[in-house]
Amino acid sequence: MIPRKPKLSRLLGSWLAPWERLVSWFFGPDYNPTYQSGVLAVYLLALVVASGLPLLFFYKVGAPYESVQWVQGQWALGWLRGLHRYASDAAVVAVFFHALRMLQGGRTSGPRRRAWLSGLALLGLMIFIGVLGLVMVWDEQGEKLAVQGIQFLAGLPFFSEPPGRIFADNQALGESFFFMLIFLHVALPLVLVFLFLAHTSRTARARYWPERHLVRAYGWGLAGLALCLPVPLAAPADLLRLPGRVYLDPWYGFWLPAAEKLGTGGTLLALGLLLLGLGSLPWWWAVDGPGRAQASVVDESSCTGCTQCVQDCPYDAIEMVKRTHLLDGRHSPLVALVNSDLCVSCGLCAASCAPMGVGPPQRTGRDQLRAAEQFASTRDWREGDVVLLACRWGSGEHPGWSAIPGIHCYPTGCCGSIHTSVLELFLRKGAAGVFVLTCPERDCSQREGPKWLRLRVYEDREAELQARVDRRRVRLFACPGVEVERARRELLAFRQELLKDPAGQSLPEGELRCRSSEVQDGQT
Amino acid sequence: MARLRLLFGLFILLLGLGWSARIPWGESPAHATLRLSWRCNGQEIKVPIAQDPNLPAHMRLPPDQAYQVRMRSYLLRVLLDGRPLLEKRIEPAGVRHDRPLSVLEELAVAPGRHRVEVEFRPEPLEGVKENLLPGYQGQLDFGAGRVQLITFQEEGHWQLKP
Repeated sequence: MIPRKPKLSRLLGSWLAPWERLVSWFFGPDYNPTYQSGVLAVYLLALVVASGLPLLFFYKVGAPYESVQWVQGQWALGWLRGLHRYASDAAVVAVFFHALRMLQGGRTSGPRRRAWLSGLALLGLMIFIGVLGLVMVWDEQGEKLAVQGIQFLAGLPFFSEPPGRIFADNQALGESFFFMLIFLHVALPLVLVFLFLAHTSRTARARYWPERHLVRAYGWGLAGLALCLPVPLAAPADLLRLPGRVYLDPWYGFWLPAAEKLGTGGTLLALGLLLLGLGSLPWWWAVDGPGRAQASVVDESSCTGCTQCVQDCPYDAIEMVKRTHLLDGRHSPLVALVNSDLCVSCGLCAASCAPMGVGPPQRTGRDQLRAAEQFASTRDWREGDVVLLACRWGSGEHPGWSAIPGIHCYPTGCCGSIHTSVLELFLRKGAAGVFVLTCPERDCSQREGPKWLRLRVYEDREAELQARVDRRRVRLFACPGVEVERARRELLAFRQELLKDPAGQSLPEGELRCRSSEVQDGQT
Repeated sequence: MARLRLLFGLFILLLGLGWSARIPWGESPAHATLRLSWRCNGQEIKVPIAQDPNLPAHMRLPPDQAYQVRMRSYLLRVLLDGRPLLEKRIEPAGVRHDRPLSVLEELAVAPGRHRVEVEFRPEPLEGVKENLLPGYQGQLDFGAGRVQLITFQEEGHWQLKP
């Protein structure tokens, strides 16, 4: 059975669909910030560190506001301060979208639990470090954040005296307070690094940096913003004056209005409930999703020890071990072993295995062939008919696919889990073409599905689509799940192409060749 | 066209980010605040320890050491124009209540000139001679959005800020 997205993920996806469509329309798949929100957050944090380090040398613990005011007055340093602040704001936004993306993709449960929980810790720490940075400025906003924030500490049973007394008087606030702030502001990001390593520890080939075009676009964009729109500096903090209207950074100070409305106890309760809800989310969000999906299993008699499944697994869930059975000399000395604690049941290993010896139960290459054969045998094939293989995690379940004449929709799991033999089988059984609708490469719920499929179809990666299959009859089309109309247009155009040029279809099976490969060979 | 859309999208995104750093929030407070903040060592009381008369003499505490030292709780009372604004018992800090007394109170006050009286005295105890501390009495000007800070010094002196 192909696992589906959790019900709550599907619901969230339908709510977010109009927004996603808008973002997709503006940015396209290459620049869509929500597709690479995780690595974008890392890049933005690196930008925060790079812009913050020079500022550190100009910060004076004895005169915090005056030193920031001086920095603000210097053209280059003021720009650097703007970049530091905007990049840290953007990093929180990126993390927020990253979390939303994970929820929407149902990627929070099972073996991904650790990533979710460490991600929550990362976000919490990021916000804490950011609040420290805002307090360091010691303007009215910083004062408000500090005075209200210390109330939370007062509620903890560790303090024998009200900690808020340090903010009773301007003179009571010494250099040591600002020294502590700067120390924490610099030291805690090191903890972020360790949390980040824990966050990515269960992913193979984790990417830490966005693509160059994204680095350039967002880097230059933020630099331009800091130049054109310098970050405002409010009036200096004065503890003997109640702060009035201030500029509030909503990404780090979002809790301040709640704290003033609900009071300290109410806010702590609300924060506690929020943390409890988010912390327990992996256990209640995905009850019908991949959390229940079964881990892959290896058929040891089929395993040739080629290690391809180990190379393709996006979660490092497969390793090669010494064979303990079938030691008859005809089988390889090493055999693949799936760690069921790490396997998310994405099925990518099923498509990586040429002899079809690995995969989640009932989703191995053999199972896929059996199901495809059954599907094909129940169809009435006509000229120009196309099989649409659409990922159920993307737009595979869209009702519109079944209503298109000449299109046979065959919902699948992640496109990277489709064995290439299935594509060939459909063509042999009478389909004029096979159209595989994939998610954009940077937005695959199973991380590397579209990439592996592309390499298997066009670049002879192991478990490749056989050379005898005419590539003109296979189309991989990457499209966000929300852009069904665009995919529909492309699908119909593909069908028209096949109808116009049926030559490829009429070639005897033995003569089918990968024409694109031949052309390339001829060129070289 | 796609590039134009991208530039426009990026522009909107950055503009939103820039705007978010400028969201005004909060209102200028219409009230003033009377803030009381101090830390002081409270008075000690010596509570005699009842010793078992059956104990041998060498196991008993000497009479001049047969007591426990306890810190006294205090009563804080604030009157504004003769009307009580706050009455609170201040216990010595710490789990065993043997740490100095800490006071931090913030009281909203209508702007204007008010007569403020603050009393900070040990809680009366039977059979204990009271060492009465002078309270604070005075006319104070409270401006809207301003804080009047009153602190208590160890020697029984009061200090006003600003």
